[in-house]
Amino acid sequence: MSEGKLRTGRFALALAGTFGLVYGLCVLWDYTFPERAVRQVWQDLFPGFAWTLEGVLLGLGESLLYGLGIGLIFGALYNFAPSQGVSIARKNLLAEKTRLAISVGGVAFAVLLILVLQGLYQGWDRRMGVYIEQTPADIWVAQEGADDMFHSMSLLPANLQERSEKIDGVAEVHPLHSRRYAFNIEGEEALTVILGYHAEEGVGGPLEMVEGESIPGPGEIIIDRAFANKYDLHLGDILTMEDKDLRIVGISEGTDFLLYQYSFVAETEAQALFQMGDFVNYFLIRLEDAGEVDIVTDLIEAEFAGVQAFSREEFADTSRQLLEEYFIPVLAVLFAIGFAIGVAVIGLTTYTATIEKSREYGILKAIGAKNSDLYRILFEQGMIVGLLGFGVGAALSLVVNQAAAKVVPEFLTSIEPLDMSWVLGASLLMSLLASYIPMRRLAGIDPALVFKS
Amino acid sequence: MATLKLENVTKIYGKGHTAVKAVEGVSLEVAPGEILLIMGPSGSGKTTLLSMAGAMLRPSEGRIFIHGQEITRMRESQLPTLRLKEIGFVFQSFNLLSNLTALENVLVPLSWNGTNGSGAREKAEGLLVDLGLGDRLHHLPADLSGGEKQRVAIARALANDPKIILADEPTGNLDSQTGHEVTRLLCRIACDRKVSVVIVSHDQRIADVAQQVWWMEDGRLRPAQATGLGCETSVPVEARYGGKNDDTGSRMWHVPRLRPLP
Repeated sequence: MSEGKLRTGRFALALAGTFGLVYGLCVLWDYTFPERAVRQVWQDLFPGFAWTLEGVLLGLGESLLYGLGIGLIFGALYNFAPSQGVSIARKNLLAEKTRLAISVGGVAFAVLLILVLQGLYQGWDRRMGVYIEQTPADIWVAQEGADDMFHSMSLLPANLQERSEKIDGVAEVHPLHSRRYAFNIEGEEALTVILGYHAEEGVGGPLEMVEGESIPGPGEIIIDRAFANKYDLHLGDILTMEDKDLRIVGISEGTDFLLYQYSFVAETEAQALFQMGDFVNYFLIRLEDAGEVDIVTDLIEAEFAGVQAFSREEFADTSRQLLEEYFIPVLAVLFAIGFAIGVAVIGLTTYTATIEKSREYGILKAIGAKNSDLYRILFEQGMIVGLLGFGVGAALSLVVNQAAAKVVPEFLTSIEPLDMSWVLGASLLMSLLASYIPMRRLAGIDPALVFKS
Repeated sequence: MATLKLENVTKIYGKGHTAVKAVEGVSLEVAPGEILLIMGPSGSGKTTLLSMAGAMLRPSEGRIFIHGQEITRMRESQLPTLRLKEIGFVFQSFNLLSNLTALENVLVPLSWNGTNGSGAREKAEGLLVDLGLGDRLHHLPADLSGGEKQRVAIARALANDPKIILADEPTGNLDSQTGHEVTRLLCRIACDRKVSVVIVSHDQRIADVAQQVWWMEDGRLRPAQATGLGCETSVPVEARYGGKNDDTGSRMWHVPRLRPLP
C-alpha cells in the first residue's frame, strides 16, 4: 500500500515513456500518411527537429527529457507537503480520481480559455503597432483627427513635403499613399489596404517575406500570407483593381490586422491606381537627430494648420488603442466567464465531495479538529486542483496556440511568462474561492453525529 | 482527583411543551484507571450523556469537569483542543478515515497536536505494534477486519495520551471473540496507562471488568450491580480474559444478566 508519497523517479520515467510514446505515434502518423502530416503543429516544441533520422531521434530524446523534467519537478512538489504530516486532502483527491479529473479539467479549461484569449490579445496588440515601429521614420505626420492607421482616414496636401523638408532638424520626408480596397475574388469581397512602397527608402513595404519577390514592379503586388491563405491565392495569380491587373509576385507576413491585411505595390503604381492627385495620406519624416522628436513635432504642428505629428511610438500606441477599445471589454467578459467556470467546477466537485464525506469530517471534529483544520483540508484540495489544472491548461494552451496558428494564420498569439504568472495566480484564486463554498457546510457539521451508526 | 466528574447534569431538547429531557440530574465520578460502564435500553440517553462528557454537546444544566477543569464553562473554540488532548474516542462503527491507512489514521491526531515527523511516526507505529497491528500499518480500513479496525481506532484514541477514553458500544459491531479481545484491551489500557475508561454498551460481559456499572433509563442513572475487578486485582487481565475457552476465559460467556439495583 502506498503511504501517499509519489515515487518521483518512477513517475518521471513513466511520464517520459508516455511522452516518448506519443511522440513516436505522431512520427509514425506522418511517416504513414505524408499527405496528412501534422508535424508542423508540434515540431516547434523540439528545437533542432528535422524530418531526417537524426532530427527525429533528437526530437525523441527531447520528448523523453520533457517528460523526465516535468515528472521530477512535479514529484518533488507533490512530495513536499506530506513531510509535515498526513495530507488528508491529497488522499481524498486521489481516492476519487474521476472527480479529480473533472475538477482539474474545469480549471484547465478556464486556464486554456484565459491564456488563449490573453495570448490573442497580446499577439494582436503587438501586431497593431509593429508596422509603424518597423518603418524607418521618426515622425508620422497625419491629418488632424487621424490618430491611427486603422479606423481613420488621413489626407494631406502633397506640397507639405517641400515645406516640411525646410523645418530645422528634418533630414528626409517621404509621402505614404494607402487605399482600402476590396478585390472581387470569385464573387467574394476581399478587403485589403494597399500601400505604395518606396523601395529605395524602405518606406511602405512588406515587413517579412515568406516567398517570391520583395519589391513589386509595375503591374505587380505583394500580399500578406493571411490574405493569401484566406482567399487561396498563390504567386502568379492576378488581382484586378478597377481595370488594372496586378500579378502576385510575393507573399509576406506580419501585416495581418484582424479585419484586413496590407498589400504592397510600387509607389508610382499606387499614385496611378489611387488617383489621389495632389494628396497623400501620411508623411514619414526622418530626423537628423532622433533625440529631437518632440521639438520637431511641435514645430510641424505650429507650422501647418490641421496637421498632427506623432513620434513613431505615439503613433504605434494610438493604433494599439483601437484594439484595446474594442477587444478589452470582450476579453474581460470572456475572462470572467472562464474564471466563473473554473470556480463553479471546483466548487461543485468540492462541495459534493464534502457532502459525501460529512461523516468523516464529523469524525475529525470529534477527535479534535478545529474548523480551521478542516478549512485547511479544503484549501489544500483546492490548491492541488488549481495547480494541476493550471499545469494542464497551460500546456494545452501552448499546443492549441501552436496548432491554431499553423491552420489559421490570423490566430496570432503571444504568451509571456508574466501572463503565466498571473493566470497561475488566477487559478489559485479560483481554487480559494471554490474552497470557500463548502466551508459553511463544514462549519455546520455536528461532531456528535459520529455516535450515530 | 476524578478524571471525569458530572454534577447534576441535565440535557433538555426542545422548548415548552415539546421539551424532552434526554438526561436528567446525572452525577458521577470516574477515577484514573477506573472503568465505568453505562448500560440501558436504546433511547435512554446514554449517547447524549457520552456526547456531553466528550465535550461535543453542552448540558442544559449541571457541570462537567475533566481533570478538574470545568468544561461546561469553556468557550466553544476551546473544546476541539480539549477533545484532542484530553479525550480519546472509540466508536461502535470504528469511524476510521476510509482513505487513510491504519498508520495515517493514528498520525492525524498526533499531527494536529503538533507532533510531526519521525517522532509522530514512531509513536503511531509503536501504538499499532503494541495492539498487534505491526503487519497492518499500511493497510486501508477496507482491508482490515472489524477487530483490527477497532484496534486502530483505539490506537488513534491513545495517540495524544488522553486522560479519559469514551467508548460507545466498542464491541457492538464485533463477533464475540473479537469483542472479548477489545474488552481485554480497554481493560489493559486502563490498568497500564491509568486512563479512565467510560463505556456505553449493551455488552454485559464488559460489566465483568468495570468497577462502576450504571443503568440508564429515561435519562436517569441508577447504580447497577458491579462485578468487575477492573485492574485493581492481583489476577492479571490476560489470565482472566485469555481469549480461550478455558476456565478463566469461559467466565466471559457466563456473566449473569445485569439488572438495575432496586
